[in-house]
Amino acid sequence: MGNVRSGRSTGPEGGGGTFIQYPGTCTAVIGSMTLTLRAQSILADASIRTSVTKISSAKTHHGCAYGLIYPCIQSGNVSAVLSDAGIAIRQVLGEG
Amino acid sequence: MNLSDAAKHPSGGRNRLPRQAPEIVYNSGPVYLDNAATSFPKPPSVIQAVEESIELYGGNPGRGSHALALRAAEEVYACREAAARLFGFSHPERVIFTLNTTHALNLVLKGLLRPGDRAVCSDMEHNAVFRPLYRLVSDGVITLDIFDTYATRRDRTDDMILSSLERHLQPGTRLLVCAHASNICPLTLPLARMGQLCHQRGVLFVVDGAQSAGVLDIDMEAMHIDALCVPGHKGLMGPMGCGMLLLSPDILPDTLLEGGNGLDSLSGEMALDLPERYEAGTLPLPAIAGLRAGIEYVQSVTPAAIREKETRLCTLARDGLLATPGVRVFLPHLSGSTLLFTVDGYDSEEVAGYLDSAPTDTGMSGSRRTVRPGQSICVRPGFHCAALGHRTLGTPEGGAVRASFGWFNTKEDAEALVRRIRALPGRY
Repeated sequence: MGNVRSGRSTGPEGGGGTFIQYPGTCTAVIGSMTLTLRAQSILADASIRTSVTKISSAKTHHGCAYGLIYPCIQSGNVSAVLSDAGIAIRQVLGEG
Repeated sequence: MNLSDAAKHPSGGRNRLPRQAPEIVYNSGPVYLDNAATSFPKPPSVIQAVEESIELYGGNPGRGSHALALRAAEEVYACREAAARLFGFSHPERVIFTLNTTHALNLVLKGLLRPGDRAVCSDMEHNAVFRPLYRLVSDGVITLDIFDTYATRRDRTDDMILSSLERHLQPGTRLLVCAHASNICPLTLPLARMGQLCHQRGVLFVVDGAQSAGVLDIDMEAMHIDALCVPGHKGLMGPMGCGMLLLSPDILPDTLLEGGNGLDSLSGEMALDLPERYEAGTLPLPAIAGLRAGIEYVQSVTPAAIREKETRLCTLARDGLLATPGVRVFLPHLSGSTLLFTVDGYDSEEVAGYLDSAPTDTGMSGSRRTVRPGQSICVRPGFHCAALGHRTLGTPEGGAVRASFGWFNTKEDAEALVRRIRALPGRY
């Protein structure tokens, strides 16, 4: 498998689609899968590792959407890098 | 290396396959000279990528969140990035997958042109450009101007083409659309200068890259291209089943298709997010995976090397045909990978049918004797879906034969074509 991981599992055996927010992690809700992968690529270029997760409709009020999970300690950097790239974060889920 | 052996390479992962072109030998089977229709054969890495996408991670990209769906989405996005890199485009999220180039052109032309708009195209266009425009004209939506490429003139220069184009870019002209390279002859257009002119005049510049993608250099941003429409299965060496529309920022055509795209499922409207706005329905993952491998292959051998080889082989065939009595080669003063010709006394269909037959074909190539029992030659006769182009070239009623060379062709292929044409009984 590649470097994309769901928020609740890292392998095909994981199953289910429940969004889980682990302690110490934040999730930036981006939107489409493509834009989320674009954001992940830009963050990787800035040495910020993230994983992709699907956000439940109930969480976003926007229907289906995807987001990036990252350590909350990186929140400032994530916001700054994505803002510079013109990618809007719809919502941040998690600590703080 | 034999192609079938290479495709079954036992070492496994794609990274272990040779990135450089293997020396593919046609032990039998036809000489394939129809690469303008679709490239054949495909690199072994393309075949392997298609197989892997089906066997290992065939989830639906952008649908759901399980591991296979995410892995598939990652592959699709990697293809967008590869295409953006190849075409000098810094927005992989605006690389839209379509069925083919025709679909991409329909999407951008019908999605952008509004009542009262004026569009401009060249006198060499393929029906993929001409027919959508013709429909819009027939419906009373737009007016269409056709500029002269001076294709048949030996003294033709880029300045002449630019002057011709400039005369047609009038107030009210919304869009210029043209093929980078003709699908019937070696004619190419000076995209960079045309794009600069459009940029200065505020005219949208739409390029049909069906014959040039992967062979000629295309830099969307340097050439001021607003929309680039390309196939996956020709010069980019992917499988049939997907093409691409690369759409510059600030352009948002109406949708051509509506449906599910994994976003805003409870809304009746297509979301504005690109590329999903234009990708209703499930994407062809195997074709996209193969296309990514094809793009990587093209980048590894370089479009310049591909162009040089195809031109060299086509020139060899052209010169052989020019020295053959009764054969007329169109635009013999130009060089490229596509050759258009007629044989006196024969309809183009007859010539193609004769070449497609399977004789015992023996000949000499340098010091090496070539024997190819049962080998036919695949070419395409007729009018090649290019009414405008054939009218411009003055093709006779019986059409013309097109032989189009690809990266995997050999000198022997070019020689075989000339030899077989010379063996046609004269009817003149």
